[in-house]
Amino acid sequence: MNDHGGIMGSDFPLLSSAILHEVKNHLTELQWRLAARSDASAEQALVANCAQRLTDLLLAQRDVSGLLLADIDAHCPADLLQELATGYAGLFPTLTVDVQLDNAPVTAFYDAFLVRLALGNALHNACHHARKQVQLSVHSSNEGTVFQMTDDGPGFPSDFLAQGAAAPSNPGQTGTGLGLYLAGRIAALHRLGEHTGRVELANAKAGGGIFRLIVP
Amino acid sequence: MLSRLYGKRILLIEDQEMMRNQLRLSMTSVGCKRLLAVTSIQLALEAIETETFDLILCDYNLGENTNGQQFLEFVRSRELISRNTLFIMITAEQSYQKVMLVAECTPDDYLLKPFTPAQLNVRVDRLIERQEALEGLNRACDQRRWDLVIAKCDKLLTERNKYVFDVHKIKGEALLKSGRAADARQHYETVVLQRPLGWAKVGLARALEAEGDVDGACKILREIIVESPMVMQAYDLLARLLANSNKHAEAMAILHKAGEISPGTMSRLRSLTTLAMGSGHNDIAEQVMSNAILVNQYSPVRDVGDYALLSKALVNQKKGDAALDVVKQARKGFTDSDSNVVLDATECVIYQRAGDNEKATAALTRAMVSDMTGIPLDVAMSVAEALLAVGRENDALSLIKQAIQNTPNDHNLMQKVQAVLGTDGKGDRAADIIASSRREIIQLNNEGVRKADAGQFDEAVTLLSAAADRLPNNLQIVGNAALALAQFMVRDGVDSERLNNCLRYRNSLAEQSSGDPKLRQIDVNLQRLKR
Repeated sequence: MNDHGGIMGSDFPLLSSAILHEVKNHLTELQWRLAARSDASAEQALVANCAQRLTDLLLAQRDVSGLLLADIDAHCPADLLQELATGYAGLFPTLTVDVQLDNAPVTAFYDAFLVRLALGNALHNACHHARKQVQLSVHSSNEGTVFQMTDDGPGFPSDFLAQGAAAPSNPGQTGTGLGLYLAGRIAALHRLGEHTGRVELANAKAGGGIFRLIVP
Repeated sequence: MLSRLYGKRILLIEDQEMMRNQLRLSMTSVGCKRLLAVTSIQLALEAIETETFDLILCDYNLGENTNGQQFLEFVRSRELISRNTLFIMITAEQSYQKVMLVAECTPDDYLLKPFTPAQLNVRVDRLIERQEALEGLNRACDQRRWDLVIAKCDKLLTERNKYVFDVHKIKGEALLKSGRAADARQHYETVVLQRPLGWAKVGLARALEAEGDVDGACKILREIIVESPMVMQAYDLLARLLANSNKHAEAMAILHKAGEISPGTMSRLRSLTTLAMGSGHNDIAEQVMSNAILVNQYSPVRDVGDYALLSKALVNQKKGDAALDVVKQARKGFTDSDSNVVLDATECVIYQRAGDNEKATAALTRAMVSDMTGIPLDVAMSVAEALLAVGRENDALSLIKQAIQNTPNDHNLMQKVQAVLGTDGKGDRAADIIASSRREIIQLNNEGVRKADAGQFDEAVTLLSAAADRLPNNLQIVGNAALALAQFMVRDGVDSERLNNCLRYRNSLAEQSSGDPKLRQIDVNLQRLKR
């Protein structure tokens, strides 16, 4: 067996896992060093984005192997949004990340880990495009629990709105193609009877993008 | 605002120096009372032996083939840490999250790398908030005072706060643990009506099993596997119920399916090995267990019984020398007396199968040199197997019977007895032995209680004390022996020998089950002696 055969063979998952672990450790080190400075929030956001892309890649891999599965339990959606807002407010200090919890249900039913990833991706995207403010909220509707993110940026391009959370047409493209697709897959893993979760994109009348993740 | 970490005691398990230093800095800057940072599972185990922690922060990947999941499985399954100790697993990739969903083996939360100090703090803060809200409840669980747990749950459920489903989960467990199967079923049915959550449906299946409705339990478990394939507990429970009904091939298929989703806990791999052997697939058994031992070679979750299982799978394939090597390897890591008994008994079987009667007899003699009273079920089963191998069937059966009567409620009793009986255990033989052993001890217990109720304390005490000495882990017998002695002394006055025996049984019961309702009855009678 030549060297190529060896590395692409049975050891490959172990190798990729070891490299991933190493990279994530380095990213954590970088993240914490940057956090210790007061002038490096843009760099911190970049690190967070790199890590998110790696995580997306792994999620996509699990999706392809049919192992992207949800572990649904009762959680407090208000806590989740506050936690996300705290994390991103530090990464985008020029923005106001506002959390509206007036209509938040006490508990909702979802896979906390997956929904946190999906909302994290969307929030990163919203912060990236916002001018001054991003607003997070959660409420109950007849479809279930609606997590919503509104930014005051230019809004989604019309072709993006048309495509929605379908599979990314150009996997090589930068931006949110894969993240949005995964958010749609994660939402769809949430089912209750006839109802299935989904992702919804819209543009606000006053401008700015609206992202909604709805779980039954 | 003061961080909720203020004044807390934290154990940090992290082999990477940089991460360790960064986390240490972050935790101490918010005012934790004590922070102990260690680099390995071994050092962490030493730490929890002498200290109590409010929070354990553990990296999944700990080097040398060990991981945080092995540590968590070990400390939770042996109850080495309180339910009030928070456990956070730090992982590099999200798939670790899905390793298992058995409640005892699930951390309180996972933290995905990389994370900022602010993200860590806010997450820990939320978890401590929950810990504080459920503190009294968890403490009562630690003390196994199930009636108190249920009462506290009912009170908390009226508050309708964000922890309502956590409380439902704990209440269901408490109902099952206190033997209130019908109440547990009703409780889980109510939760499932609100939302068909995986854990609630597993709870419902467990309640149905406890009520004797095995078919109903299996039906629900199959539903869970289709609807929520991540609920690993459903596979484990279904496989056990199928194996108990002699459906070994089907049980094995279920565990295989579980293995495709997650590599599984050591206990699942043990079940799979036992089932594979039970259905004649010794090669699969060998493969599963040798791999499990290799993966866990530096982990505390390994057990001497794992080596005995592997050795048995090898012997069944006529690989005697390899089986002896496994025993030799095990002797290096397991030197306590119970382990020696298991390994001597295993050697006996290996030599007997190889036709070396002399060495087989010598090994059996070594295995049986110590007192067999009250030895753990697995150890007894190993010796019984050796006795069967050398043709001492009556001795083997009487040891099996004693072991069953000592621990009549072990969930895997059927599988274990079937495994010992081997090909002879097919059909209803194992079930018959278990049923008759249980029946005999229930009759003895009832006879003792009846005599005590009739005031024939002398006879009751003779009967129950002899049984309690023979079966020190049968809590019903031990409790009733203590109670009969206490009642005897209330009527006829204190006698030092009776008092000593009564206290010995009472303390043994308290040690094994501090929330046992019989303790109160015994103590009320002992109080009356003081007056």
